[in-house]
This record gives sequence, structure tokens and C-alpha cells, in this order.
Amino acid sequence: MLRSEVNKYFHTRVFWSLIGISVLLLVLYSFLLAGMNQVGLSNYSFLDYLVAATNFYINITFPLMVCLFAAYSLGTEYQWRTLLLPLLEGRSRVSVISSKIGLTALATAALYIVFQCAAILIAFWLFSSQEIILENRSITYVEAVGRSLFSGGWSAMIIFLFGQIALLLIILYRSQTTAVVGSFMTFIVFILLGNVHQNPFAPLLQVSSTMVQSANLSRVNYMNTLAAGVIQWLILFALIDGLLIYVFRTRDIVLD
Amino acid sequence: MTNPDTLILETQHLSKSFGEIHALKNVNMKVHLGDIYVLLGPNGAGKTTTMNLITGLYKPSGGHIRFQNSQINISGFIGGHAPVYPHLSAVDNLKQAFLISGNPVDQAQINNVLDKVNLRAASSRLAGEFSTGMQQRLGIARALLFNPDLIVLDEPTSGLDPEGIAEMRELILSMNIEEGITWLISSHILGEVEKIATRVCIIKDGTQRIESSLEDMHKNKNVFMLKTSSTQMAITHLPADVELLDSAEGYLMVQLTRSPSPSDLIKVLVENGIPIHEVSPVKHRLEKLYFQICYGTGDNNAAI
Repeated sequence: MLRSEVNKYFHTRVFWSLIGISVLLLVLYSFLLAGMNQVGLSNYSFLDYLVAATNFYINITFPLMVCLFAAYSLGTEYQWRTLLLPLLEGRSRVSVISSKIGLTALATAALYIVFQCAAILIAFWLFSSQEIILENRSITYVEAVGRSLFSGGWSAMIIFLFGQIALLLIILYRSQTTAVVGSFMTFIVFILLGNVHQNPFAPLLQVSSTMVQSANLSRVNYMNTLAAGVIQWLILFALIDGLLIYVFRTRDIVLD
Repeated sequence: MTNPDTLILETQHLSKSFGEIHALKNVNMKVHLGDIYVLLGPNGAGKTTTMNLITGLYKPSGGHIRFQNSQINISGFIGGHAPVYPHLSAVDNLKQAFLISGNPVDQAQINNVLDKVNLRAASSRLAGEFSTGMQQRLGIARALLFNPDLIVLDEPTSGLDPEGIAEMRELILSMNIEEGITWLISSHILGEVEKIATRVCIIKDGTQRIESSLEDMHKNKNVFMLKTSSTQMAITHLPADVELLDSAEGYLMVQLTRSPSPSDLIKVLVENGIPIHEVSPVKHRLEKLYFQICYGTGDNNAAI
């Protein structure tokens, strides 16, 4: 079923437009940062640029695109009435919604990988002239790329959860606009919670930031933060997925 | 075509409520192998709700849906418009069915069903560029891909022009005769139903009004036409439990209100020296029956 989903939705203009917009925004932002470096307004190193570009992407553009894609991938099945087909052809409701979750995961990964590859290429092109210093320690390009990939990848995993919220909202309301706005606003609230004192999701959010801010990970007990973050992610994933599957299994499917 | 001994689908007291609204109440249907079974009723009667329940899109609030066995291969579409992926070509739409099922793509079978629905020449065009009729045919092509036992179509002629309606009718009939496919169709186009249906279920306000073979519905079992050369004498000698509905020179139309069979009536008349040349059951058109069943009158103004 996942093969069918990939075949259907990775061949749409919407998917390629999202990829194209991601890269275009990155290029524009990168030239802005490079220009600021040129005129002496900033002094972005290779890693600084990667962190800035990733933050720029994961705070608004990336979650919005994941929510858009998730809402589109299920909303259009109601709109085109094609949701009936796999059910009539013998697939269970659980396998249908699981394939949508899988598709959202793949789309999240694809959007992230394309962005990161483009960002790394730009970083080498425009921001590789300086030594990379992290907390007064010089680090290699390989380490910088590794830290950036891990940090962004962790953020992508968090954002994937909000794509599933978009799927849930589509099942509940069958409106792509409601699903995108609802899931994206939930993401914004989640991020704002990160600034609240004693935020219960602190480890989940710190996994990403600590990786690109602390040179000595053992000093900040990074493995403990990572373990707590993984547990929190798994709990959220199980809760959202459980709810998503339960709602899809039990509700009437009303095609447009 | 129809095999009355082989039940392919049965609903028992099928009901569906949406909150306080009872959309469907106690619908009992029996679809036999080879039937062209038509759900008939006005808009909002509960036809699509019934179809949604049978295809599993809705969960019943009460009653049961039983298929002959778990191997029944069911296909089709609901809601008047065929489900197609508009951004994919006709061929790619059909390939999706193989990808979903996990079977290797069978190009020969794809070509075969495209030939059956007369879409082979347009197979590489995007489905979104198709006319409504072509999309309906593509929907049927997909339904035919895995040699289904039962095809469910909700309002398949919705939005079609007269040529499209005729094509759809021919397609359903030929697939029924040549491939033995059982069809479950909802419609409110009485003329079309009369041309294809073997069995009809009339639903109004969520309630089943009648379920019968079209042949039996056409026959008004108790109304007969008698041809006689002695009309007045025949009227005089009609038994008390036979109601005279109409008469003219040379014929009588009577309704047997209680027990006498047509042969009993003939016997009484012949014993009284009245020559009877012909006795035939009176057939009603589906339209008249439909309005009688739904609105208690054979006059379609009742529905307006």
C-alpha cells in the first residue's frame, strides 16, 4: 500500500512545489546571510550557517509544508472519493491509515533530506572560509555536518508528529484548511511551550538544540537528555497514532 | 441470468442513525447471483446510505450485512462520480489497484478492461481531463480489474448525457450477461431501471417500501383483463368478491379482491354461458407502481 501512496503523491505538483519552495526559500535566506557576512553585519561560520538555516526552516516553513502535505494526501482521497477503493479492494481501515502515516513520514524525510543537502552544499560554497568553533573548540566539517544532520533530523521527527495531527483533523473535519491551520497552530503552541519554565517537553526540545550548541556532549549529560527525549517522542507517537487509528477505524467515512 | 438459489448478499434489519436522525430503518435486501439489483427512491430516501453501509464506509447502527462468503470480490463506486486520481493517466489509475493489492501489475488485464469500457485509445490521457462519462467508464474498468462477483454503483448515470446513459446501460447489461457479474445499483431514473433491473428495492424516508423482482412488480397479480363478446352479461354475473375496475365493448378489467383465482372466475362466467376469449394479467409500468408505493397514487403530481 505504501508503494501505491508514494506512486500517487510523489508524482503530484503539490509535492514537487513544496520541495521547490523549500529550496528557493533556503537559497534566498542563504544569500541574505552571505550578504550580511560580506558587509560585516554578521560572522556566520559553516556550522553557524547550518544552524541558522535549519532554524529558519524548521520553525515555520518545514512544519507548515509537512502539515500541508499530510492534509493534502488524505483530504484529496475524500475529495476524489478514492478512499473507497482500497477498502473495497480488501484492505483494512488500519492498513489504509497506516499507509498515510507512512507516506507522511516519507514526505517529511524527503523534504528534510532535500533541504539539508541543499543547505550543506550552500554552506560549503558560501560559508567554508572560516574555522568552525563550537564553545571555544575547533571542530571538523564532518563533525559540523553530522551535528547539523542529527539536530535537524530530530526536529523532523518532532514535526512528523504534527503531520499526523493534520491527518487526524482531516478525518474529523474533512477540511484541508482546518487540518493545516489546526495542526500548524498546535505546532506553534508546542514551540512556545518550549520557553515556559519547567516545560514538560523540555528534553524533547533540548535534544536538537544541545547537539549544535554544546561542544562537550558528555559534560551536559546528553545521553540522558536523548533517552528522555526518545521516550517522550515514543509516548507522543503512540498517543497520536493510537488516536488516529481509533478514529479512522470507528468513524463513518463520508466522501465529498 | 439470475440464480435465485444463490444468495450473494443479504441485509437483515439494516439501520443507520445519525444522532437523532434515523436515515435507514430495517432494510432487508436479498441480492442473488446474476441479479441487476436496483435501489430505487427519491433523493434523500436512503439509497446512498445503504450503499455506504454495504461497502463498509459507514458502520451500521443496527442489523446485519451478510455476504455469501468471505471470498466475495466486491467493487464499484459511491456518490455518483467515479473515484479517479485526476493527476494520473487512465493506465496509471488502474495500476494503482495492483499496487494496493500487492500483486504484480498485469498490463494485459489492464488493456482487457480498457477495451471492455472502450477507453483503450485514451489510456495515456490524464483522468482529470476525461468527461464525466469517461470517468464513469474508467471507474467501471477499475471495478472489473479483479473479476469481481459484485459491483456496487451509486447513481452511475448521474451527470451523463443521453449517449452516456445508453452506453452505461449497455455496459452493465453486457457484463451481466457475458461475465455473469452481479450489479447492485442505486438510481432514481425509472425508465433506465425498467430497462435493466431484475430485482428492485424501493426505499422512501429511510424505510423499505417493497422488495421484489421486477417481473413480479410488473404483474399486478390480482388485476386481469378479460376479453368477451358478452360484456354486459359478464358484468351482471361477476361474483361478489370480484371488483369491476373498467369495461368497454369487448373487454372487462377486474380485480380479484379475495380468494377466487382467475380460473374460478372463468369457470363461473362460462357456466353462465358467457364466452371468454382471453384472460391476461394486467402489467403496470414501474413509474406508476413507484408513485403508488411511494405516494399512494399512480399520479406523479403527488411527488411535486
